[in-house]
Amino acid sequence: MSTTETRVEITRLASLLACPEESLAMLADQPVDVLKELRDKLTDRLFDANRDILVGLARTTKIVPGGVAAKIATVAFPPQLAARVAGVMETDAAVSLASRVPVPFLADIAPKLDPRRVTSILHKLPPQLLVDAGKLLGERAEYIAMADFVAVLPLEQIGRTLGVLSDEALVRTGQVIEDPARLAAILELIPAGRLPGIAETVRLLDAGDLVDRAGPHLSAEGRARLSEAFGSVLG
Amino acid sequence: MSTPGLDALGTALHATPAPGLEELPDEQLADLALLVTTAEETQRLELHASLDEALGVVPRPVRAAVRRAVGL
Repeated sequence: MSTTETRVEITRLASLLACPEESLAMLADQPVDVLKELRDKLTDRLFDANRDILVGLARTTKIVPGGVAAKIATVAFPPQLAARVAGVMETDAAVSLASRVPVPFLADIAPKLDPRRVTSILHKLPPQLLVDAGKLLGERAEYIAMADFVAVLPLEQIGRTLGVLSDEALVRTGQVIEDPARLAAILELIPAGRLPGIAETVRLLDAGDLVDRAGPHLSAEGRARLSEAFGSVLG
Repeated sequence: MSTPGLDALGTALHATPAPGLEELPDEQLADLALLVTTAEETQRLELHASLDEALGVVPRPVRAAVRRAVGL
């Protein structure tokens, strides 16, 4: 059992349940696999609920041209509703809608998207739109959504987005990235000039566990580069 | 092994709870079940409130089609 992995899972479960992490203290000693299975079942429960209504709403977006549907969605759909509807739309329709709504509205929707649908939608969105939305998500401290996105986006796209994120956004997102190997790959993308700032933020936020998780997955070259900045934390 | 707490969690999730959770004390399982039920209920209420709000501002010519599509 990994205490750090368990903490990440509890943070994610609390986000899904919209409850304080302290309410899930009873899960602190559970193996991470048990918590992941619980999260999967909870995701199914919450995102499959009321599916008939959502499918019906998704159908309405076919009644009108894409631009008009986007306008209606922006004006008439609160973000949580738009996100749930996007989750049951065909991928191309969801991408078309997402590409036409204003970026702030897209950033409103993004954290509420069905995590099971995120991959197929994100892979088809324009790169600059992802950068613009990522910047807003970072400013809004939507770290779990960002962690979900960087879990599935190509590293090239993540590299494009790093430049618009603050050190704090990078570190706090890194703390809730599910896969430590992915976390390591992203750490290796950070330009040398930003590493001292990131290391200082890790220290200030007491986020050394982020580096501990990534450590075993770093390449030799990456380890050497990061060791200079993180020093004793990496060992 | 079936216990009231485990049953409540299964009902709330609409699925069999992950093996391993049955080791939790029954009252903690019941607390977890309540968290799941509350999240689902909150989400359901938010969805219906959102739907009411959306229908209120959907252009009139489209409103009837939207109502039909969502089964209202």
